[in-house]
Amino acid sequence: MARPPTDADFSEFVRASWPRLYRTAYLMLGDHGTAEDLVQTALSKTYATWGKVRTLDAAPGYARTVMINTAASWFRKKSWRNEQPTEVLPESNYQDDLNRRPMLGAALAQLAPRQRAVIVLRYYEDLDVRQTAHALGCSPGTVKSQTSDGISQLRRILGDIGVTDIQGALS
Amino acid sequence: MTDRLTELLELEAADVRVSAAPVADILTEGRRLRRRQRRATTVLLAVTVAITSVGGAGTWRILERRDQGSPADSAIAASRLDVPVFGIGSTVYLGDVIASAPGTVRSLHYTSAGVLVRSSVPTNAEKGDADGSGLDALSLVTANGGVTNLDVIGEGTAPVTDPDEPVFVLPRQAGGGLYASVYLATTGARVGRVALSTLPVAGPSPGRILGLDGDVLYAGNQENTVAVNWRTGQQRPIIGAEGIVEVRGGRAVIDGRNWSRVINLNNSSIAATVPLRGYTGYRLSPDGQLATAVIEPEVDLTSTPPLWVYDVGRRRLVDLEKLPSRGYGWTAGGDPFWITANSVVRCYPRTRGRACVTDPLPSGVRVDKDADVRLGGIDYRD
Repeated sequence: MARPPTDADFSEFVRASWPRLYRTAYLMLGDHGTAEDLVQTALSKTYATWGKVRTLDAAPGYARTVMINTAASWFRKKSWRNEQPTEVLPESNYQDDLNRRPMLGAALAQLAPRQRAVIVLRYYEDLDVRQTAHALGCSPGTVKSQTSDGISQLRRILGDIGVTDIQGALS
Repeated sequence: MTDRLTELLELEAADVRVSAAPVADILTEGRRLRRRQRRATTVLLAVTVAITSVGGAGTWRILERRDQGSPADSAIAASRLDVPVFGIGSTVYLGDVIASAPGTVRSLHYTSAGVLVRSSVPTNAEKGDADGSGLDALSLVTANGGVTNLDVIGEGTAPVTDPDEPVFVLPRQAGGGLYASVYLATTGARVGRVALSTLPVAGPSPGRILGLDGDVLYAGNQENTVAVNWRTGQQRPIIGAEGIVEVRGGRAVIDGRNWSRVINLNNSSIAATVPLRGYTGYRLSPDGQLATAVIEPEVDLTSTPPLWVYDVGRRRLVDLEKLPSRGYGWTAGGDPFWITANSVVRCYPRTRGRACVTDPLPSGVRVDKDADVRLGGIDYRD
């Protein structure tokens, strides 16, 4: 696996992994353009560092780690702390079905970038505290506090219909 | 216990409209990153070897020395050259660094070893405007201002470079055939030569070298385009790419009768199209990531027409409000910049802020309104 993959192999890998990575990126960032930037950057980096991918089966996990690391580096930039990504123009295809669920997207948008990422990684990507801390380059304690604060904030925004119980969230 | 949150996130994710994966763009960018990493490793090794050789108290002299482009010097320079570069008269400006070219600067071409400067040789400059019968000098200017004179070439023959590669390519004729000769930018030594046997030397549509992307150079005329790996000699025709205007970063601009297109040369796919009625044709940044087109004024011909900037790799328009529609150049990394009377303005199209930052010109430098400023990243042909 140290040699670069063939174009055909890598293209197939990109097509297969793109949807899942894109969804995670969108949940973390809340903006389609930026999510696409992130996934594209992560997959390009994956290609460039293919020697670190031991087996083809490991490639999706590696790409996800690269993507989260890249997002974490973006969060550290000052412009990210000052500027929350938002969709400027409403797009009807992305409107929430209010009858089906509360406006989670809008609620996530009110979290700080890294806090939002922690919530997505823990409850969408199903990473544990240690894995999340490793991926974001922070301490497990930070992940626990960000999780607690994030869920509290989501519950405040969404009410009981959104998040009814956070028992075990910090385990 | 937080199943409800997971459920909500999964519902949210399921509703996300996922765009098609830009596979070709990812491959192109991945290759570029890999080349940069290889080069960075080479740079590190070169610096390490140099430092080990000198050792002790002499270590930092390498960083201070202005010799004639030693490998270690070039390696250090390569890692630093990401500044607006321009020339006025025989002076070359690289950020705060000022260097002197042998003659009046004609054009500036980025390599990973430094800036390749094409300037009129003194005897030619004395004649005034270029008329195609004189000679130009090629020099390498490194980021620390070191100048290495390399070669003398026919007037108006612009070298072809890739900002990521330490070489430049020139067209040569021999035995009635057309060749592409590849030279090391640090020494001027020829390191490769490939025959472009499918392209005519002269005639109504002579062959010319269009661009360099890594080890692959592109050459063509109105009828044919060919990609040649100059290290291996392997050639392949590019289908559907007749009439290429320019090649940069693995992408090409083709102007058709009614349209201008950017295509990906690795698979001939169309990356962007604008109608020529209403726009000027596309032009590419040195890395091929950005394409610009000026929107032609429909009524008021005296006003400044707006510039349309498109991020080809990310398939979106870039809002660079301040960028003028004329008179801008590019840094080696693909950031547009322009010069005012006493400042240089650089835009950052890839960062979230899309900011344009104004910095003063080096102390004492003031640019006259009528000065012939030559900007880096622009192919001046005179």
